[in-house]
Amino acid sequence: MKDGTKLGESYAIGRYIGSQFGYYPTDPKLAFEVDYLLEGYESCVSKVAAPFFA
Amino acid sequence: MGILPLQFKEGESGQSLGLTGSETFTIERDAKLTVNQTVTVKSSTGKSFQCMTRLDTEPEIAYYTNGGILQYVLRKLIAQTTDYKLHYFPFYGRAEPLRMMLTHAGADWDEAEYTFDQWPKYKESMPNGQMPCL
Repeated sequence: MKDGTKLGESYAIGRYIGSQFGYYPTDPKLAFEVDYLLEGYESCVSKVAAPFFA
Repeated sequence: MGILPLQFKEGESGQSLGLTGSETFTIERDAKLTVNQTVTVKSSTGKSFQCMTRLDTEPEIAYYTNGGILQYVLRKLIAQTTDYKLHYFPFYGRAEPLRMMLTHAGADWDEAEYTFDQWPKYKESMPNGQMPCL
C-alpha cells in the first residue's frame, strides 16, 4: 500500500478492501454469511486449482 | 533546506564589504521564496548587506525548498503512486475478486504483474511468500 505495508492472503485482503469500501458487513451475522460463502468457494477452488500447483 | 546561492548587489563584492571568508552568516528572507529575491545577510562580525538569491526559475525554488533535486523527484514520485497496488500473476485466479472490488469502489489502484519466470525473484518480498499481495 502507499505507506509501504504489504498485505497478504487473498481472503484477508478481500475483507480489508470490503471493510474499507463498505462491501463487508459490520453486523456479525451478515459477516458470517459472507465468510460462509467465501469459505465454501475456497473449498471448491482449492480442489480445482490443486493440480495446477502440484 | 539546501544551499541557497546568493549574488552580491551590483558594484559590491566580498572585498568592498570587508568580508574575509571566515565569518558565519545569517540570511533573513521572506517566508515565501520568489525568483531572484533580495535578502538581508548579517555576518558574525556585525556587517549587514543585501544580496540577490540566484534561484532564477520557479523549478529551482521547488528544488531548493525540497532540499535538493533528488528529494524533489522522489517526493513527486511518491505523490504519483496510487493508494493501492495489487501484485499478482497476469490471470484471474485469486486476485480477480479483489480487482473487481477495487474497480467497483472507484479506488485509486493499479497492478503489478509478475510472470512465472519473474516470480522466484519477488517471492521472498511478499507476505508468506505468496500473492496476491496488496
